[in-house]
Amino acid sequence: MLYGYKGKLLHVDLGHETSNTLTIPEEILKKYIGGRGLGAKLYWDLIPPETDPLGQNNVFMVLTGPLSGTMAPGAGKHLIVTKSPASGGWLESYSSGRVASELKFAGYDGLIITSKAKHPISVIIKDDKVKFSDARDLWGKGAFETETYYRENFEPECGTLSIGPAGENLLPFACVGSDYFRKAGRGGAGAIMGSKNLKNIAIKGTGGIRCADIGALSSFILKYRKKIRHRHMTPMTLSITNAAGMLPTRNFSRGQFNKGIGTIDKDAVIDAKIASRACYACFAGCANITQVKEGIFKDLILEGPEYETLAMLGANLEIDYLPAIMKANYLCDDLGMDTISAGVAIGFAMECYEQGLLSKEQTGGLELKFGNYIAVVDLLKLMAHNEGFGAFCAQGVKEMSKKLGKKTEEFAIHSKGLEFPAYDPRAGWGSAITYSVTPRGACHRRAWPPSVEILGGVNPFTIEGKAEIVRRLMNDRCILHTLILCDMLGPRMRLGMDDWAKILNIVIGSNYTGKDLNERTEIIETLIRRINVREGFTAKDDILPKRILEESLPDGPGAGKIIGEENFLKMRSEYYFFRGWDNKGMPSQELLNKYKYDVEPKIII
Amino acid sequence: MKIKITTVGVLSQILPSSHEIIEGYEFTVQGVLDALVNKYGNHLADELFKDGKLRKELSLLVNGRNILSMPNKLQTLLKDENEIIISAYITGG
Repeated sequence: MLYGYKGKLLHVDLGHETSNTLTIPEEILKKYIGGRGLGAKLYWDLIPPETDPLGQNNVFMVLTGPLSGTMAPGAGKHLIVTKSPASGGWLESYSSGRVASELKFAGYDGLIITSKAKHPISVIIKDDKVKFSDARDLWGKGAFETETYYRENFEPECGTLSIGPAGENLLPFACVGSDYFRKAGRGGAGAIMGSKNLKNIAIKGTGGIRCADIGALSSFILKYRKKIRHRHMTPMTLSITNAAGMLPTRNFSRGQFNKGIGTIDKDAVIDAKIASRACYACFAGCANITQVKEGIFKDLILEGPEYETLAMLGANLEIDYLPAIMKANYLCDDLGMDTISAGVAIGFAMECYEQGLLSKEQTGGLELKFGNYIAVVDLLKLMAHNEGFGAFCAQGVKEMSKKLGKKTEEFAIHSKGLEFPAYDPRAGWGSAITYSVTPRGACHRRAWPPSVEILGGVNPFTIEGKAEIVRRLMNDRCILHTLILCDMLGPRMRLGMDDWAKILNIVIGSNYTGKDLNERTEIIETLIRRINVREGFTAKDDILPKRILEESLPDGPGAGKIIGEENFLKMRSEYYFFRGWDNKGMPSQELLNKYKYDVEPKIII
Repeated sequence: MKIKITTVGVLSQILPSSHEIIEGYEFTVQGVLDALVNKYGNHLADELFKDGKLRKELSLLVNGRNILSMPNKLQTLLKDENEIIISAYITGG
């Protein structure tokens, strides 16, 4: 067996309350490596296309990477793979905390959850022992209280995965919490746990991980930690995106929030900061613990807000009062909702309200005007509990616009049912490709074109070269998500495929080259495309809302510039071409044969 | 004319705050950076430049556009109330 891995998956059947281990063939580990790669292989083998995301046949997987549990920089992350309730296709969602390391210490590279429990339960894993604990008393409780319960009654330093009421109520943007404020936020993985009556998973391991060359790993870490010189991290992005005119404001109708930026930006967050926090074994410590110092939310303490939350529950709703954003952040984390999708859903409802497409009677008396943070706080609670007008917003903007009609789909900002993150593609056209072709729906973590269009010297307002740039950025992220290294820390260390191959070789004792890893990313991305094709997706699903393609922004450097459908389709076709897919986005049979998907061993439960 | 300078994740050991105003009659971007160096000393120049060029790990935006994607780059002529952002290489959120 290769170093670094455990070579085993733990399979837990909730309906029968049984468990068993599965061996992962070494050939599969060498081909798919771990994380996203292994997740794609498992999804293909274990989730048939007719599976209802919220039905008992969906499979919920928690995966690690070959570096998880080691001191490798940024390796404190885990991955959830399942069929998405938001898109109906491939879902991968990442989070941080102790889950990945504890799972490895317990002896597993991943956890596969199948079927549905008869009543709310928790799965408790300690090394090779698996217990099923009645969680009926915790059903309806927040994610924080749930996590605290298992820390107090099982192990204080365990890895936990918890859902709040939003997951229990099957919201398509319900998230899975770990280490309190860390969330696998996007795409609705929390609803899958809810659909299985699974309130919590707690994991503790007492084993270790074999590393091929621990001295070389230590040297690598000491060398690169010097490059990380500043903290505060994601809130710093707000000043950049506001200046670049890509900060979503008033439901993506503007790209700058000049009226309120000064009260919600990094300086405001730093003023509220009381401590830093790091993920497991990470030297960056980039998370901010903050406290509200005065006003109606006085004394509230939380981790965050991060950039996306400041943007989506701040600028996008025209809320310029940081304590209100902190309160909304706290509520989303405890209730178990993605702050991005929640912010876009509320922004959409606010625009409909201000346009007269929703009445005060329909909102249950909520005055849903932009900037009304009291209404936002009330609405978030209603959404998580699927009550009143909250139940309408809890469906996400795709379904909200379908129900409202009246051309509201033109400003329902999503792709494949997943709401946009906080970088308006009209101020950097590369993101138009990323948001449209990303398998889980509109996503900024699969590739981040602002790294070259805003922070680099690439013209943001041209289609030239963008498809190839996005493909390269996606491959870079793919390998980080396959090794499961932090995609915030990794790029800041300015490392490339050769470096990632080096660190992988140091840990597992292999001899990969950067070229080998790049080839793996093509194999993995094409398999995920094949999964979505099998789920019924076509090029018609790789689209963006009319507002993004046909309207210009009124402010910022992108003012007056329109992407246009023709330009968009040209970029998309080029992206397909570079991947070796046809004009409809279908991988060719030649490519499928080349990657030998159909002649490799299958994983069978 | 007044040029507003905002720093993001850099120069915090040298500049008193992340917001700075430079005033003068006419400025290119290079001129503003030179004025900053005159005000805060050569150790600021070391943080900004290497071999006479802006350090690769920094991004410099003028009114939201990266200077490297503008035709005249550091020789871009500025107007009153223009904003310069000097940023570390950040990675989104």
